[in-house]
Amino acid sequence: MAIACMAFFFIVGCGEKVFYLGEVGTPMRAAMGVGPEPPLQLLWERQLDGAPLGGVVFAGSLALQLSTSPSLHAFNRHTGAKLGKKSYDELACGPGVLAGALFLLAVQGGEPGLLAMDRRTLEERWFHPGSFCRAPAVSGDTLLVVDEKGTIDVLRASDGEALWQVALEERVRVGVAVGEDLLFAGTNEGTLLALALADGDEKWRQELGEALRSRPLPAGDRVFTATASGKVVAVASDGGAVLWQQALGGLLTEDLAVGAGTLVAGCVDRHIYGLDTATGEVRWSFETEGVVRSSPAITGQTAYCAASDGYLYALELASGRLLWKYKVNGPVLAPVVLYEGLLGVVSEERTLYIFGRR
Amino acid sequence: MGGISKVRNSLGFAALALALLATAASGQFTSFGKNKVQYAEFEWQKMESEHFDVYFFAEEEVLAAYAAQMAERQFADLEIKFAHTVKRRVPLVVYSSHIYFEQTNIIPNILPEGVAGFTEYLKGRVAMPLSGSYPDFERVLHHELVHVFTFDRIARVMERHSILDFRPAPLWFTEGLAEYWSSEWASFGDMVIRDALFARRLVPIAQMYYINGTYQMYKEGESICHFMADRHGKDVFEQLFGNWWRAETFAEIFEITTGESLEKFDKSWQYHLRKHYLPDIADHDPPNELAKARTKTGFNIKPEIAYGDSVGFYHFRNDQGYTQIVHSRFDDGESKIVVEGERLPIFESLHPLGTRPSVSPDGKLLAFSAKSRGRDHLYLWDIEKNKQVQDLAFEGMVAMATPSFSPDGRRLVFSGSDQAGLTDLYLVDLEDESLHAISHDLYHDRDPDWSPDGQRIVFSSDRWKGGRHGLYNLFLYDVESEEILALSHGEHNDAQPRWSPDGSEIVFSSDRDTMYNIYSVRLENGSNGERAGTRRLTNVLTGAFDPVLSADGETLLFSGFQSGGFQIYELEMTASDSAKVQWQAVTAASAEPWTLQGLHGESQIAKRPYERKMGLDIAQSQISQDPEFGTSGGIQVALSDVLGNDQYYFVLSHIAGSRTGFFDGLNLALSRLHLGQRLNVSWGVFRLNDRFSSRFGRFVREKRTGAHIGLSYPFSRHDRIETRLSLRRSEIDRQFEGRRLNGWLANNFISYTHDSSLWVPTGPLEGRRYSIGLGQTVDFKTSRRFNITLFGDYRQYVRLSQRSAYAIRLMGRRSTGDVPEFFSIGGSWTLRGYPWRSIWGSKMILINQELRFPLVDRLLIGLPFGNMDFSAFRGALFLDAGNAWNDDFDEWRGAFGVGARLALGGVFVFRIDGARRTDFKSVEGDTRWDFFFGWDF
Repeated sequence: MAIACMAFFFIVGCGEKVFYLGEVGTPMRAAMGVGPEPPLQLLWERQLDGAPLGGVVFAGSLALQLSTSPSLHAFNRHTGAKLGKKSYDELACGPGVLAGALFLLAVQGGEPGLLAMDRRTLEERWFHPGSFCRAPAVSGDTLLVVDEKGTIDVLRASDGEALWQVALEERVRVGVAVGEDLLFAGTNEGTLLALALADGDEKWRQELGEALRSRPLPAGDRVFTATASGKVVAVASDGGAVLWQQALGGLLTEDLAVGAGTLVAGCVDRHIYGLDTATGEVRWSFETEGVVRSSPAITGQTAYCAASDGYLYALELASGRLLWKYKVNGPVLAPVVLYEGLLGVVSEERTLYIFGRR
Repeated sequence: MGGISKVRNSLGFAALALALLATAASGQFTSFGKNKVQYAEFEWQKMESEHFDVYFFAEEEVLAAYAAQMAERQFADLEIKFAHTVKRRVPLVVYSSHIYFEQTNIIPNILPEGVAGFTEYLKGRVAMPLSGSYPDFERVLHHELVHVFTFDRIARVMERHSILDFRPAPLWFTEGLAEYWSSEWASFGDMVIRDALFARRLVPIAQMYYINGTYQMYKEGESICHFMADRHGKDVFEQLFGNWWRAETFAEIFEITTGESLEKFDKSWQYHLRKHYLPDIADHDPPNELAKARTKTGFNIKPEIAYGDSVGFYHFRNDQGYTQIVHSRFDDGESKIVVEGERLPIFESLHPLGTRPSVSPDGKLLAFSAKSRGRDHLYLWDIEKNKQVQDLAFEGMVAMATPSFSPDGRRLVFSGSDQAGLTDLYLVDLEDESLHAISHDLYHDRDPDWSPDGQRIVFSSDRWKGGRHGLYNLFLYDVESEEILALSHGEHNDAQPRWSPDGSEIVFSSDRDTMYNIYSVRLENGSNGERAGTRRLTNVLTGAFDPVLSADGETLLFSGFQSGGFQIYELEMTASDSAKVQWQAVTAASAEPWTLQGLHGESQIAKRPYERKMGLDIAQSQISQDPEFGTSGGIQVALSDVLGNDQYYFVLSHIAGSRTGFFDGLNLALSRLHLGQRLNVSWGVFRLNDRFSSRFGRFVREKRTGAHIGLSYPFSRHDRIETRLSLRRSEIDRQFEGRRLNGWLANNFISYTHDSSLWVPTGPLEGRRYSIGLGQTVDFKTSRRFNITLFGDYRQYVRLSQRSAYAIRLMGRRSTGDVPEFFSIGGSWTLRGYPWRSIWGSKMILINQELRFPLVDRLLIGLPFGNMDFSAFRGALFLDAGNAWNDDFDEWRGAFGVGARLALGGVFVFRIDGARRTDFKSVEGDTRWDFFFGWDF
């Protein structure tokens, strides 16, 4: 049995060949009402063996963090106890994602593609070729991935079978997003598209003039995105009409966050912005001391965002007032993640921090 | 490993130390090379802003505060462009003048005048001078900071993905991006690209290494970055850097990022340029199509006409690597050298790009500025007697340019820069040499020219609102009222104004139609006051500069850019077409059109005295194995301060196989070099047990413990005197002669070295180098004299044509005493046709003669893994003679033959020589081949 453990490098309970990765559940990102309110306490911090690739993924009782080494680190999300690590031969190209019973990893190297592994055993289930460096969107048993050439593949998560495929014929630098029955994608040419989730039929497209660099964010009757120069755009989700545009100071975070009528985005001009989702008006801005590349997350009243100045900031969602901040040991580029009363943030100094309320 | 490996490894460890230590043999022979002279000594201070440590000296405090503030602004701008921040503090060393900048010890290289700043990657230091223009300083600073961000961004991406090898970006890309992100596309870029297209000299991306480091590479790189942003979005660069870890070559990274192959992109870029620029030929011409070329070879600019001289004109010429002022005849184009520059300390640089010569109204004197002994001087040169008659230098004046005589010939106006870097206009009385400043402010006043009636001086300046963005207009200074009037107005660059001989008009160069052309402005008094009517005189496709009118006003001389170089052209003046004259009012110039204020308050910037904190330059370790001597291992460490003025070298190695215990096998040396003053001082201590082949090819083992001190005083860039003293306890085993010696040795020597050679990639082509010296070694405990050594080395390079030369070397060494030193010859560097260091003795003589000539300019060899490009493939015919002996000279040994040299990447030169030996009575039948790496003597 010990041999089996060593073979898998993943020592989460070595009683069997099965390595349990927590309860099935979808990791929560940018969701409201599930995170803690400040002030937070640092529950635990752990060192990684490489720079973080994406944010922490919460799965049942586990906190999983992918690193560029590339390794997948598993910790007990409550105690921080190190449960194991699995290293990969191929270089990882994007953040890891949990989808039902699968853990998905985009690899590049010999043959780039999306590697789906059993979340319990980490055995390979299927492999889908393509250059996928953006996190897939998950909708039930459906995976939606877009490669850098702009081909959207919709796969059945359980077996990797392709359900439909659409070639946008424009390169893509941001991941796709899923609304109620629509899939949204933004291209380098500045096209925002809505496709039917069922079959990929194009429902509408809107030309926004320059490369889209923030993943479309559907919220209510509108979809938000942002361009390479830092222009935030809101379009109607039913027809794609532009509702408003707001130019900010530069490239915005890859993911935007919306809550309580406020759209929150970090910017490379060292600011975190809060925009009125109805009008696009800048309600508030908060100046940090570094470039902001870490995507924000929102709870009921609070926006959390981290910056390359090494601070995790908690801002009042309504006003942008600083409620609380915490200095971690280095710049933060990976997104802030909220999950069931916990907040995870990981620094470029290879340290994962989990905050909460004791 | 064999013995040769052992020797190399042992020497490798000790190389740094040995270069500094006074050892029995090596210390007495100096190497050639030019000097970086510390003419001015500075009290350095440090200013700390949020991200920068700005190093400056007291006279340039305003510049330093400005630099810190600008750097912070640009840092914020680049954070947005790179979507990245640089976490380390960036050292920024500023100099108020290029002349001071040339003294920097941050890098060891001699800095040419064309270098506007540099970023050094070892410690991430940025060093740059103020050229006189604050907006230009900002642009260069921005350019250098792009390099800082580029380097840091790539390093962090690679580090993030745990990839150890640093994958540098191609030079055209890093420089092109730095240009693209630091300034708007400007007329000089159009000029270079348009010329390259029409002269069919545009270099594709795949072959950009042909023009590595040239201005054309910078501008092509900038053009490519513009096209890249237009085609793939302005954020394409941020994406490229983000993907840097995903592939090993730039072409692969580019394709991953954009989905387009670099080859296809390259073709599209070239097509785009052709489409954009080729229509220009319809209504523009290259200079040689619209004017008559008056010079044809080399680099010729800044024509100047003496009013009474209808035979020819004066100008700067550089066709052999040195700048000269020459007089060229109109009829046959023959040139006569008037002032020979850049060979002697007195005219170390004639600044051909930044100044021009001026002839006195009576045509007898030539005025020009030249760098000499660490600052600029104004020289008056008697043309007829061909000698200097006056040397003007002023306290506190660092740089001077563009002198212009008053009509009575008794005064000069010129553009001068003080120690703070402010560049203003000055008048100097040639009789009493008194100086009067016309202006003293932050504006960059340049190119003054005195009107024939003596009442006005026209000049170019950024003293108008557009000057804040680096644009120059023309101004008039009224000598009597001291009022300054704005002569031209507009968002363009007007430069190099010259009055016509009758004072009715002023010709100047301007980029107002996006290309630099020659214009004329005529002054008139109208009902609404004075007005200026401007018309264009040339319509060149590339660029026209430095206009000057002939004495009769009938012809115009100007410098034209074509086929990548400058020549002087003559154009017949045409009658003015009144319809094409544009009139503007001459108005009073604004007293303070822009300021440096509006930046952060100085209170935010902390000042501190400069502390010599040492930082690591080199740290490396090495282990070698040898079947005879066992295992050797060691480390060497080099440390220096931010300014590079203080350098420490530490070498520690151990010969594990030593039979005499651990301590005997230990080699330890510490040396310090202080370069911050004109007198360079080195000292060190050492404990060495060397087991290497001595310089004459025989085994000598020396165990020595001692200390040394050395002094080196440069008289100029070309000449220096050096002396060195070492005291050591020495145990010498001269295995080759079965002799063991012990003693307390004092070794001292003195030498004088000159080097004014001019190089091509394979070695010197013109100039002279020589070194003579005397040294002795005595046992200071017993007063026993070991030896006295005399040496001399003289090398002369006589240019035969543009790229061929005759070179001769005369070298002699003689050592006498109880324990003489021995010298060896033989091999590729000394006496060809004889084995390496095979001939040795305490006396040596060597004569080499060599004819050096080009074979192939560029040799491209296609290999399965890619092309190898060799920049210079040259040939040599040689005749060598010499010998080394102990008692009596017996005979000359000689060899003659043919050789080839191949420059490899600017670092190595591969040499092959085929020689036949001769005793000068007969010739051996066998051809002997020498292969080696090294430059020509």
